[in-house]
Amino acid sequence: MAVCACGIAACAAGQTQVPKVSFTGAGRFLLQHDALGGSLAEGDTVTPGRVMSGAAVFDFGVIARPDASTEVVAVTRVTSSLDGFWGQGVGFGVRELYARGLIRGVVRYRMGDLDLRLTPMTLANDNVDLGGVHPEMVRVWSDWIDYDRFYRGGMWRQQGIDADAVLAVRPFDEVAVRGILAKNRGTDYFFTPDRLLGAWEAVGTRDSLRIGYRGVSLFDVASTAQFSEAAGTTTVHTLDGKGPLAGGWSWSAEAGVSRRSYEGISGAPEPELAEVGELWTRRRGGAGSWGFGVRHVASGFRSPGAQSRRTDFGASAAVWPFVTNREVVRMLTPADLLQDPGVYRAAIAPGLQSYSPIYQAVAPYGAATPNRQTLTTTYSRGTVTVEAALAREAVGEGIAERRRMASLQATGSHTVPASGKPLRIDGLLRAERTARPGLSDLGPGFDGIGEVDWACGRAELGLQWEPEPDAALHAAVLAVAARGTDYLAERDVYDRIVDFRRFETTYTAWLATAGAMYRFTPSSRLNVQYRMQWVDDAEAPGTFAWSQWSFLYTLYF
Amino acid sequence: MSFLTKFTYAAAVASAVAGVFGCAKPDIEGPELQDLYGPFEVLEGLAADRTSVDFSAGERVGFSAKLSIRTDWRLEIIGLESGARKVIEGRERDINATVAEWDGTITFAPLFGAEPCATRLTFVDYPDTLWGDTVEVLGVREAPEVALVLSDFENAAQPVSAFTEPVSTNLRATGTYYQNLFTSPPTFATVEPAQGAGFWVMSANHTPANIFICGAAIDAGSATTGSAAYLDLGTLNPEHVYFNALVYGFGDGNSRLQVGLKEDDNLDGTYDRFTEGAYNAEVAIDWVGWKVVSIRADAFLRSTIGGYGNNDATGRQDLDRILQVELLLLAKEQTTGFVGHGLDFLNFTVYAPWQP
Repeated sequence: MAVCACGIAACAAGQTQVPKVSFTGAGRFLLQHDALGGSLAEGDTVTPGRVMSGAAVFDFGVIARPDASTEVVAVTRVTSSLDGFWGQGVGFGVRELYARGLIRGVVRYRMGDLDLRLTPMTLANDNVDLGGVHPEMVRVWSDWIDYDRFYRGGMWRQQGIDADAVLAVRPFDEVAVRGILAKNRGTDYFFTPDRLLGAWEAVGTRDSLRIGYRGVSLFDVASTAQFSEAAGTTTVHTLDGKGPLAGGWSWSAEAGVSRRSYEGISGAPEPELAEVGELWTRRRGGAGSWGFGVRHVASGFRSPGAQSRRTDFGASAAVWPFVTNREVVRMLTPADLLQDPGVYRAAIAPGLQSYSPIYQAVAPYGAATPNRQTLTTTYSRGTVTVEAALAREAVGEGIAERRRMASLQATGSHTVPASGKPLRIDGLLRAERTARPGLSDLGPGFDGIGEVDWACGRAELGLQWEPEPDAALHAAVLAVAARGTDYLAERDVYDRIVDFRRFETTYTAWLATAGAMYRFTPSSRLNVQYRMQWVDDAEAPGTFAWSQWSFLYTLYF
Repeated sequence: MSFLTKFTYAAAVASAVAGVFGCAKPDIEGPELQDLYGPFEVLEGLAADRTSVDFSAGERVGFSAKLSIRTDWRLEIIGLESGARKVIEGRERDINATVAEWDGTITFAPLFGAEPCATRLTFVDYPDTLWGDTVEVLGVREAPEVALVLSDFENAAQPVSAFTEPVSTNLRATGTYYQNLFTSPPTFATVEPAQGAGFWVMSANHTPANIFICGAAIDAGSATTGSAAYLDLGTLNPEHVYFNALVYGFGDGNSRLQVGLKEDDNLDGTYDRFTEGAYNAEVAIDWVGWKVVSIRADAFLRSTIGGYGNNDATGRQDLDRILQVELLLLAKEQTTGFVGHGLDFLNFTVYAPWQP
């Protein structure tokens, strides 16, 4: 058996050119002026109608290389809030700290802060609510959130140790093995035990065939809390593969099981096994790429690393968390989701978190959304991608009839002319429909009970014109709409459905924005934007209008 | 056949088999919707599993009823002589002793005596009222132990410092207390103590500008039981300690009780609001009568009022350094008119809430 290594070996190979210390970082200076409008603001004598706020946030990173095979990265964050109160507006903290390197040129390791992603069924962090290719003007905000919350590449940020090596094992050309242990939650020493995330994988490749085994476990260590014997464990095992077929086609698949169990808790459910499986065939060609996929995710399938949601719809908005004289909590709007890092979670959770069907009802937990059987087809050519899916529940929720769902998403961009002063057009269209017959066959008293008729969608259109190489004018429109009736599951601490809340609403949100961008250098730029948002939500006591001027200086180095 | 081809065929077969077996799941997940949203009917009326009960001997009474759907229900047991009330709430279709059992405790003071008790079942979403069997109490429950009584308001010499808006009432009341609580009819309200002869009352007619109305504070050193400078609760674990009180609500719907635990973090004998922790809990008072209120110590949150508990010197809740307990009357924002509450038998228990 031969052993080889990769990755940071590049660092070792070029050791004479790599400096001992280098610097990295990013920063932004934001000044914004918000104005409240709409019928929600009428008669409101409590909520300030105009708010001016802002902050300077800079991350300064140092990369130290004590030797050819070791690298230490430390990033500190300095924040200064423009509306600081009693000196609390200034903050200083460590944003990132990790060391990585090679052990004897064989084992690659990273310890400290980790960025983790495995497969869609085991460990992934996708933006299921407002994902997709945004227009440049919207991406100014969403890119920052991805950076700020460490979401880039669909990663989850954890703390622990990650080690991998590549082995030569027959019949494969090579087998990459990897082990991860991260601390998901700290103990309070009394009742709440430590929670760890363990993950491991072995991926063998031979020619163009790849076969992998992945395992992820989120588990409590009961002995770390003095007065508690309670512990929960959720473990996922999957096998996946990818390889060529005849005629330019290829296949990929992932299948596995999850197991949930609890110890030391009276009344906890018995251990449960649940299955998941996905099979794709794809063909790449000059006329575009086609893909066909079938996926089954059992209702009891639990994969915390893949199902944890990044958006926290229960979070308070940074701007106007309460409105009206009755101090009503303001529901999050598309503008909050695009601009406010505070509404996003940083941690993997053991259970299914609540979602908003206004943004996503077909797959609110991504590809690993439980209780789904899905047929998907994709087509892409150039910058245009279309994905259509038909889905149904694996088992009915509260009723024998199962929900049937359909979704369509198309994204694309086009630049005219290709040279000179280009005008770039970006677009996204997403539509979803969910339906289920009700209980009318049980008698007249049951008319309409259980009936689901839900539709939601999103459209984005953006224009970007660059009259000069470093200057651009932008305009973008984003619309989110939803209407209908659905029954939302309410779950207990063990994720069992214990009740259903009938949810009937109509929702419309329009966001229109225009502005200019000037790039000082390849790594720094200034955006000046005016943005207007209108929200008409039947759940809210009135319409909500929110206009904003913003000056945003962004720097990556 | 090459290894690659063999594996491809095997993967396809395995996926097909998994798909076929994965599809057949006849179960329904969650409670049936017809049990939640179907027509409401009472299938079996309210019944008790015994006609008399001796709580002093450890006996209990179980109640049962059957409904056509799951809905929010409220079972009330009312002492026909004392006026004491026990309220049990739930959301089941089959109500039985598992969810509706009475152990002789109260929800609203006074305590039950040896007396006949009426029982009734009402529903949040439906107007029906089911009257059940009358249960005769032969022996009353023994009074539960408390770790520390902060005040029963029986000792007129116990120092209670009061701070108040000029228009409010904020004082110890003894015996049957008549007070001009309302400026418009009803002009008088009669509030009897929940226990003993004394209690504390705070009330006012307020304007929308007022949220804080008035407050009272009791030092740990002057607690009814115990005279140490700091409350001696026997444990430092906030998950094991409960603050309990009998709280009178006038039914105005706008009153709030805030309880504050002020800590002497540096053990110098004084509370410094700029450097030492204060932990608060708040209860919206939406009932009429004396109700038992219990708040677990870990539900007290660090005060975020500017310059008041913001900077906890130790950075944690210190149950062994509580120097003073503060009780406030607050009004709901942007309301006007009467607000008020009464307080009696303030105490702390360990491991379980106080259930008289």
